Amino acid sequence: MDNTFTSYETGLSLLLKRLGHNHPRYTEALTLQSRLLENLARARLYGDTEINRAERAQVVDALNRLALKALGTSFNVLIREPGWAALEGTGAEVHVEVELGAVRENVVTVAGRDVYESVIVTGDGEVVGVDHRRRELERARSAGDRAAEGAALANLGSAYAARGDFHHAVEHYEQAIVIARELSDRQAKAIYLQNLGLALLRLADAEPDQSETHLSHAADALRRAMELFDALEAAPLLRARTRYHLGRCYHQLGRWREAITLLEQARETFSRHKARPELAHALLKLGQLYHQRQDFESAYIYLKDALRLFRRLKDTDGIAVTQEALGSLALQTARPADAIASLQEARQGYTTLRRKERLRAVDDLLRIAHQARQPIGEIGVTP
Amino acid sequence: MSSIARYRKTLRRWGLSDVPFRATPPEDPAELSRIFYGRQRELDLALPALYEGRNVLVRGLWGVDKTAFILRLLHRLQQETAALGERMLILYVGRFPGETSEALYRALLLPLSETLADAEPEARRVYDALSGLQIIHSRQLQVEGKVDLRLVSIGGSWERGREEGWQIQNVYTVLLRLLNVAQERYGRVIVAVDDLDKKEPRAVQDLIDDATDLLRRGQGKRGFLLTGRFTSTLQDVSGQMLGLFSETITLPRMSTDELYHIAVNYLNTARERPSGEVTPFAAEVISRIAEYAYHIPRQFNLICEKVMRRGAMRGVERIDEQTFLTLWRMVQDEFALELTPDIRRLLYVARRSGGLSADIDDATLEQLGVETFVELLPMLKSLEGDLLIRQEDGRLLPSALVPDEEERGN
Repeated sequence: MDNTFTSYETGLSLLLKRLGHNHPRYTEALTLQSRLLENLARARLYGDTEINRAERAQVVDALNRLALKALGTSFNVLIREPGWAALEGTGAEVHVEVELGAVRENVVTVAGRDVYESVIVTGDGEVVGVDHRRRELERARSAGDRAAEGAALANLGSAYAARGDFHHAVEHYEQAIVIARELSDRQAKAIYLQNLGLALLRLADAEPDQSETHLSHAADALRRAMELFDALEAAPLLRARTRYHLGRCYHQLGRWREAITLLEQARETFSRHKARPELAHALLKLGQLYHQRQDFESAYIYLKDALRLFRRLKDTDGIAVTQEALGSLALQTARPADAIASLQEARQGYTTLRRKERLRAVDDLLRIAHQARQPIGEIGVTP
Repeated sequence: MSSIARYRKTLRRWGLSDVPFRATPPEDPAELSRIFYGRQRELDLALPALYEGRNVLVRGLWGVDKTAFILRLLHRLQQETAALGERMLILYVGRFPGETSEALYRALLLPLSETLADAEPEARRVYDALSGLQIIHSRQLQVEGKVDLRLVSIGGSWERGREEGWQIQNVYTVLLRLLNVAQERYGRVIVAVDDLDKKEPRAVQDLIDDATDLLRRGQGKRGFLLTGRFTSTLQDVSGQMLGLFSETITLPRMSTDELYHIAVNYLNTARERPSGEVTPFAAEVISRIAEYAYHIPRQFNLICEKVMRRGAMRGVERIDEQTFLTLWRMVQDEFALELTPDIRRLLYVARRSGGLSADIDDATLEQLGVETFVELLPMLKSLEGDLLIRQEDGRLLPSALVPDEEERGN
């Protein structure tokens, strides 16, 4: 926890430095800085409480909006999450098949990360190795078929992405986009742009130092893909999926209102087309966003819907992630008994999936929830 | 004898000029004071906080009479502050179009600029610019020229203003400037905004976030009174987290005794000579109506109005338990005729499942033909109020006005 606090402090210094003394919003930033520092000091001295965390979320929200308006980047991007670096390198792949009506898609998730954060849709029906894709590319080049070359480059990009090599994935998608542009193939360009956006999103996770840049590029690529799909009147689910990923991207950039608008649009389409797995993820993401925005009532409604769907899908990971979010929400809204019930189920799921890093987080929350249930005298709170 | 003649004759026999019950209370503070009853504890909490220019949040279930409480509170604040020989400006904004902070600022500018128009050129300009607005209700009450209470409700849309060119640039800056002018002139300014609980909760969340600066500034000199739909634990915490309010006043449902007094007060407004009785109702019938109304004043007044009107039309002597049951069945049947099959099905399922909430189960969702509770939200929102009554735990139960078809079948 202290590492997180330190990252807040680093972020604050960076924000003030970038704003500079003469910026019209410098005084506002200073006020927020003093509120956040006071909050952190309180948490360090007397332990963190739900009220404290809620207040901190509010200040961070204000800092996000200030930083976005003044610097074009969110405060969340300015701070460095220490957990990210530790996650790097856990690149074992898990292949999951997602069925959407007649469309079958391969979804690649990287073990040790949240599924909803790491979905990569390759779009070509199966995931195959880099060597195979490279040979495919060579064949297209020797035949002088530019369209096939573009497709092969994109496929090679997807193979790299599936391997966790997002730099090479980005490089190949970008080359594919150049060819699609040259051939005026807007459909292909939109698909490659979407894949590029997803790879950049993953890269942002993998490289916290460069996360701001990667997220901005990802947002740009996904926005362009969305505009193209809309112009081409592409399949509603494809358009909804792009909105979902762009919404995720805006969420990470701290552009919460835009994220909510896009994710709500995606949710409506997923719901209309009965795309249950994607609907469940959209509901989960929206629930988390509303929670961050302190709209606890909406958060609860969306998370409960997500949980119902994950249960129907028998998606252990989805259930665990949603129960963790519900547990955290229950804690923040002073319902420790509900929090314990949710967190215990989350713990069970993470144990089955061997997700150690989530287990640690859930155990922390469980400890707080059990403390919250004890009478004040037994906790030994410092007055 | 014609129907109206019989209706009037019955009312005369009951000693009444008309059927006085209304679902929504009068906006005129003087008229309201004849009907208002109870809420003393809540008034005692809110009055000193507002007097000191602090922010107050008034929340409660839909129909619990927040508006009546606020208008009564502001009227008392005006009278008591004037009695101390102090100055104060009290502004009340009822309805206003839009769900953004800018819409709120514009709505506030209307009564503010109107108050200051005579003495302040900028206020005059703003007031002239806003003159294209559709003002539903506007009223000014002054006590010895010291404490102004100005009430306003605005209709239409801001888009019309854009077309007609009465938009104001830098609304927030202008609002702050005029609030400062008002503070200099009156010492303290109290602003009540009574429309927020009827707007989309998420939009209100954004609006409050954006208006946080306005709500924080000038505490002690400038107090805001906002309404909230914050009723469930979740909404409750959400409101409190903002830390913007010195006092959070929760209006509970009313007891049978309180509703009895409100019925007496309403009836007295239509009587030549006041009485402490609920005639033509029997006292037990009032208790039964209070129960049917879930102890929510709006539902209570609505049921009293409907039952009484049908009783007068049928020329009944007195509305005792037996007569009430006949009239009640008529009211329910007529009410059911207005419902579409979709709504009837939803209300039926809601009653059978013990209320609809986010904790709904798969079987109930399937009965309603949806996969998620979120899909039901727009419909639930449109029905909440007269047809669906929100409980403190968040469940939505059908109004007693909706007949229980299964029970009827038996």
